[in-house]
Amino acid sequence: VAVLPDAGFAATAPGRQPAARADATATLTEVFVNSARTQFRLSVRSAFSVGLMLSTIPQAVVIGWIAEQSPQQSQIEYVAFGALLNAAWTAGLLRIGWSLVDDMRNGVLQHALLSRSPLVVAMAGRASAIVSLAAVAGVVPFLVVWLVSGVDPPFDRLWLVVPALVGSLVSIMIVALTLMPLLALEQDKAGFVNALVPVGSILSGFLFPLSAMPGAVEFLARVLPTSWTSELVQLASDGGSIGEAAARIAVALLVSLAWCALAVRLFLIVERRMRVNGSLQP
Amino acid sequence: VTRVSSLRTTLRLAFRATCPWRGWQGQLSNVLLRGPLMLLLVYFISESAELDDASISSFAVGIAFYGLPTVLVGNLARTFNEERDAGTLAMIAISTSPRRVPYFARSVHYLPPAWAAVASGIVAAIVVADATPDEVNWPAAASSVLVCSLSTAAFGLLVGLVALVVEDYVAPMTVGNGLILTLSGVVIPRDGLPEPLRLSGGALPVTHALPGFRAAWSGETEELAGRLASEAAVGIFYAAIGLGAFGALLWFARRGRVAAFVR
Repeated sequence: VAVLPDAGFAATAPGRQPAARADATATLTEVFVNSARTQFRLSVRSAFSVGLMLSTIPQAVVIGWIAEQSPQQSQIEYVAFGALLNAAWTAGLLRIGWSLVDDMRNGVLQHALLSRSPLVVAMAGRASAIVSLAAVAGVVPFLVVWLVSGVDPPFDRLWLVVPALVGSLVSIMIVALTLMPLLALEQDKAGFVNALVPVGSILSGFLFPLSAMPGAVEFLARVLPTSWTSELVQLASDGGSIGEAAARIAVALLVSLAWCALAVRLFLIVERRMRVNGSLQP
Repeated sequence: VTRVSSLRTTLRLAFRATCPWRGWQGQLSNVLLRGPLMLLLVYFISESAELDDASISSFAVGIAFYGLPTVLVGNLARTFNEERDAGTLAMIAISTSPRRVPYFARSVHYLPPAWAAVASGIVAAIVVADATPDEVNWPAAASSVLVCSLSTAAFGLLVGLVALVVEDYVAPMTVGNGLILTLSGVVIPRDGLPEPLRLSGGALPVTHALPGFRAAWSGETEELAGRLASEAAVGIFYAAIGLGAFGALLWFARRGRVAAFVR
């Protein structure tokens, strides 16, 4: 697919554009990378803001203290990794959820719409940058839970822990990407995203096993790819087998693909609505 | 300008700039759902950690009561900043009416949502954590909520002034609410805290009223008067400091150093 090179322009500040190419075309990969790179530059400072770091500590202290009461060490490890993912979920979802709306408000979404690049690719690049930086905010609650609970890190299972955490971050990015067009379609955005963040956090099972929830709620949670990747983290904490991990990875991939298809569909609705109306207001 | 008209003007301007009642979805999530969702999270973590039912019920009541600072500190921390952005804060500086009226009046809007947050938290505590009491002493429970509302509002106003000075409300709000969550006995019992932290918690709102509320929830009223008096003293302490700081800011603003009042 040949598209114009300014596809990542939606993620750029005025006056900042990706370098132009001689043939004036870009592949989807370049669109993704350009968008991610630009968003990374824009967000890297706020990712290390004191307010963001501080905001994760109180809850981490509380959940670390509760987990420390548990007789099982694996439970504490799971909560520590969960605290990281929960913070990444909260920070990532809030920022990604608002980014399309912010573009509309700042009047820079026109550039993305004028481009022939698919909006969803540029936004996926942006989402990847935001979630990567949101994971930085997760390091603080992770360390706080370790400090409060005082257990040893599971260095012997890093081969499973690291892929599980990376998979969880990717699934967070996919869910957040799907929510972007929903926010643009929804009128009262603040209430919408503020309610989704804690609900999604609970349903994802970042901080407790899904089996702790009632059956109907657990069934609902299975729709989220994050719930499957959270189970992967739990397996890593419990020392699960490769077969169990592979099964969950396969299901997580399938569910993630379904969410990606939904995201593409929703972005098409947003683009069509704006272009037909001739207005950036949904 | 009479005090009544000053109060009316302040309420109207603050309402336009900062009232949290606009937008039912925002209200639903920030006031009515936040506490129950936090409770659900803590409940499931506690169940997974195999904690006993009495502890979980105690957490549930504490989290319901934590609805007060969530709404009051959360909103009052940004009220001055948002009023500055709306361009109405500078009007206080040029007003000749007593400064205590516009200072304290802005917290009035947030009391009903704060009480609604506690009510939704209590419903969630009963439904989720089975924190159903045998015999609630309603007057004692209501007194605890009322006194704590005032002390927390005084604390929130002071946090709002800090936010005004540092031009960012997120960090002060987070620190303020975070200190209450961790040091006031909402979930972590104060007896288990290191001595310096336990003493620090005594200077925070919620710390003294929450045990009174928990006791009232069980139908007891022992030491209620003493606890509420301590809570009121904490509130008066923050109100006095806040009013003094507000006066100092106005003094600077009226002498041309208006950076804090005009962005």
